[in-house]
Amino acid sequence: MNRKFLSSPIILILPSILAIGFVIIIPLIFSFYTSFTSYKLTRPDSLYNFVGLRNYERLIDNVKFWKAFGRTILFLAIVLNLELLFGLGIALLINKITWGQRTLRTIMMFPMMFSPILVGFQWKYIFNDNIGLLNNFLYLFGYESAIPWLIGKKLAMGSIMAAEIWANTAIFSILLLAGLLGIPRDPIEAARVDGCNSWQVFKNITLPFLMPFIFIALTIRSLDVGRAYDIVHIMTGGGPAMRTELIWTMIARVGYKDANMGFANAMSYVSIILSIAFTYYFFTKLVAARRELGQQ
Amino acid sequence: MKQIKKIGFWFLVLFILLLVCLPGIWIFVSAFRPNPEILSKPANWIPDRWTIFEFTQMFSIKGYVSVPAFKYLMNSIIISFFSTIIAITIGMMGGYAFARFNFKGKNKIFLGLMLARAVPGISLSLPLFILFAKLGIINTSIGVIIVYVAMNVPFTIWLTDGFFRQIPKEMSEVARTDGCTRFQAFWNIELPLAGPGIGAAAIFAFLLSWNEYALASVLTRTIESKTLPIGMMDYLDEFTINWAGMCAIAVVMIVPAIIITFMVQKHLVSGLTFGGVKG
Amino acid sequence: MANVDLKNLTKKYGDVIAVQNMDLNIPHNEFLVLVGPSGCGKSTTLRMIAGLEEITSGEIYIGDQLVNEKDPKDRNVSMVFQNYALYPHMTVKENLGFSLKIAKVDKKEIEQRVKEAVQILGLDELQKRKPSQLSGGQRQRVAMGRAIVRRPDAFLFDEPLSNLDAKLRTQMRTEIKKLHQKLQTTIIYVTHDQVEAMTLADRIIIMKDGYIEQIGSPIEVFNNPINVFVATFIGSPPMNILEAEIIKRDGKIYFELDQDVLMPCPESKASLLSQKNKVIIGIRSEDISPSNSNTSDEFWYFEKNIDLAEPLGTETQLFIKLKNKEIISRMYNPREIEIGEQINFAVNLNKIHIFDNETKKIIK
Repeated sequence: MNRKFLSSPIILILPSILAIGFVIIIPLIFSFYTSFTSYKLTRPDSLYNFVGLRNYERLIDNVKFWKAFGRTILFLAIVLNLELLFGLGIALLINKITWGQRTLRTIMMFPMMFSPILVGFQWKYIFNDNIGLLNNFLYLFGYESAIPWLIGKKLAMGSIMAAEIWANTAIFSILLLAGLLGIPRDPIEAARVDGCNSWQVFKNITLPFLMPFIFIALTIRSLDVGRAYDIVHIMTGGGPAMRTELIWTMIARVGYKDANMGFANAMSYVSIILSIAFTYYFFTKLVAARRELGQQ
Repeated sequence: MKQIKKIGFWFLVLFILLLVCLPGIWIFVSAFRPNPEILSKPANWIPDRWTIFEFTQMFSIKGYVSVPAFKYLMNSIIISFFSTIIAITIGMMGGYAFARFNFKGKNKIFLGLMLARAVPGISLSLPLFILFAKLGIINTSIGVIIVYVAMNVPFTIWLTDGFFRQIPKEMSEVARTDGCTRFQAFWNIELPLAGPGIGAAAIFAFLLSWNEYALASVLTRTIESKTLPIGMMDYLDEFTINWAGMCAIAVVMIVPAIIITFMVQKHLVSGLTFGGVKG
Repeated sequence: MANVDLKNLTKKYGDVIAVQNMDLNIPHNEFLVLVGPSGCGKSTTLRMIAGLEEITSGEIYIGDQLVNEKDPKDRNVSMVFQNYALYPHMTVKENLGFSLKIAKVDKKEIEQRVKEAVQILGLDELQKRKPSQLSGGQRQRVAMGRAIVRRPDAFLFDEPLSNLDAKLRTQMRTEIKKLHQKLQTTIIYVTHDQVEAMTLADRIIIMKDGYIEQIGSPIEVFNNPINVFVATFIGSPPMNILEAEIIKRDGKIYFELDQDVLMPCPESKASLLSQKNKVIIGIRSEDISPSNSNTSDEFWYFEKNIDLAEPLGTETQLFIKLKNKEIISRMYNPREIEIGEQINFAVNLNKIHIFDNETKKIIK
């Protein structure tokens, strides 16, 4: 009995580890290797052309890459914060509604079911300067000159963010609403009796209780930040003139269009570290927030 | 004052509702009208002429096929179905192990699995493309299924771990003193009780497989293997986009996702939060 | 239909010892209660017998068969858990029949045995309900029914009554006792409640820190506690414990309970104390009671002011202080008591317990 029992959790986890090992770890090891070569898809023998740290040196010297990197961080910071804020707002709003709350919640989940690629096309159409819904709508109010949402220097990035926020706010509002519905009434009533106003109740009772839910949402979201690639890829392809180039679209361009695998893989590593850092950060925050509420 | 506040409140709710729903409604409406009408100015929300032209095109009812959407749909169904089933089976085993056993390095393995999931698809696509090409499983459903299984396993573990923790340990213990083997106790007691949570995990796995683009766009480049999100790109010419066709294929993509999600949406939320907060 | 034997049973979690070298023979049909404070190893012992916990070393026999390597399902024991652990997705009837269904027992037979259990426990009208529709007491009954249906060699109860309110607990206690008389099987019952242990057990085992402190019938462990721990654990209110210097005067031995409060040592015990300077005295509260006379030789009398009085109806508990320790006395003919009132107390010298002040063991 002893041996069978002890080993069974390992056996149970093994298939998961094997699957991840095959699909994620082995490719990563391979791409780690190629990031030290001058590998080009078009010249298979270049796989063995070891160039040491040259790809990484090129990366460090590459202004375009660092611009894309900085832009990606900025993009994530703005998008995640706004999603959280809007999500919280929507959750508080729905929480106040008593009649039809369920239905409303269901409708709010709608964008979660959209493929990012579809979100991209949808907003590409909405923001189209010529035939897009938005300009069409503004036309009704007399704005006859078409606004170049996806072409304008600053507008393009904002448009992409709008699409990203539309697609991903749902996860925040749904989870935060679940958190709000789960808050016990007693502490809130006690705070009221103790003389707190609505804002103080929110700040001192509601928000601390919501923290784990906020971090669950952020953790789940951070797992998928890389999927912003799909939206950008469709909406602008990184253009105009690379103004919306994020690290992911740059990888795709360098890797597939320029067929420069070694260099693209070096960039991939930076993007992987970025994603993992985000997830790790939120995950540890989640664990800490949970501990604070004593919900270990 | 209170009246104004109330009106403002409902106005805000309505505004958000419109923001969430209108793009979807537009897609749906546009799928059933001719292409020129979509481009009319100002926007026309109620089509002058309804047509199912694009759908008949897609499903080649009239013999002429521009985009073999039916083939793509079948590919998507096969790939999503099998990758979900396999991911749930494997992930559930892992989730059960994390919920029910204590072992060395448990938390580290758990975190490691989650972090593996965070690797962006685009960063994986290049090495996977080369690896799969060498193994000869590029442009096959099997290749994509394997990839999606691995992508879905970590999140499934997270969710099912939370759900199994919800079930008191005594439930399995009493079943075992009642004469069950560990597996019988799992099968007869714990699995049915965790059912809703596993359903939620399955939906997430399904949605990811159904909607994924970055990896599929590299790993499936033939009609035999392309999924719907990749097939969508067929409506994209060098200079023009067939909006009506794209809306039609979008409807084909969204409708199953919505139906399946709404079937278990109640458990979806509790699945996420239970798995998270108490996990 | 079986005895349960534990031989040199030990359980360790890493370096932490949960159960240490436990030897125990439980004859068929005995109602055995394991009692002790939380963390004493009583539940671990029970779970090892059930097969839910691995054994570090030692042997477990059920009906003379070594079961160390057997899965829980092959041990033919039934367990009732503290939180009932009813299967929430099954009706009462399905819950009861589950173990037989798993064992592939013939359907008619299942029907028959479930019916029996239902009758024994009075669950007739609840058969179609789900656990969530039952009250605490009903759930408890179903949990027991589930154990009965299996006709196990031994029943294992893990604190089955601690989730019930006080009134229901008393009622269920009686039912469990009746059930035992009806079924005639071995029962091993774990509780932290000494009242439960006293009322139910044929034999009580008092455990602490993984060791057995004492084994005996309820009356035995109550009257002859082997050490200070057992003395204070069994009985309510707990036995009064006082450290006392031994003073010899006129060839007689006295215990100094407080300044100038000297209690004579009963002659039967005097010879045992010749080497001692200090002992621990234990007196049950019913052996210190107010008295009107002060003449009997079997008693020792002293006067003390009352700190506090708690009337309970049939008795009043009086609190006094000796050497700054609170002492409880029982007054069986209650009258109004005033705080500070001086009362004459009588201590039954034949009933005092004398413990070694170092080993804390009884001196006899």
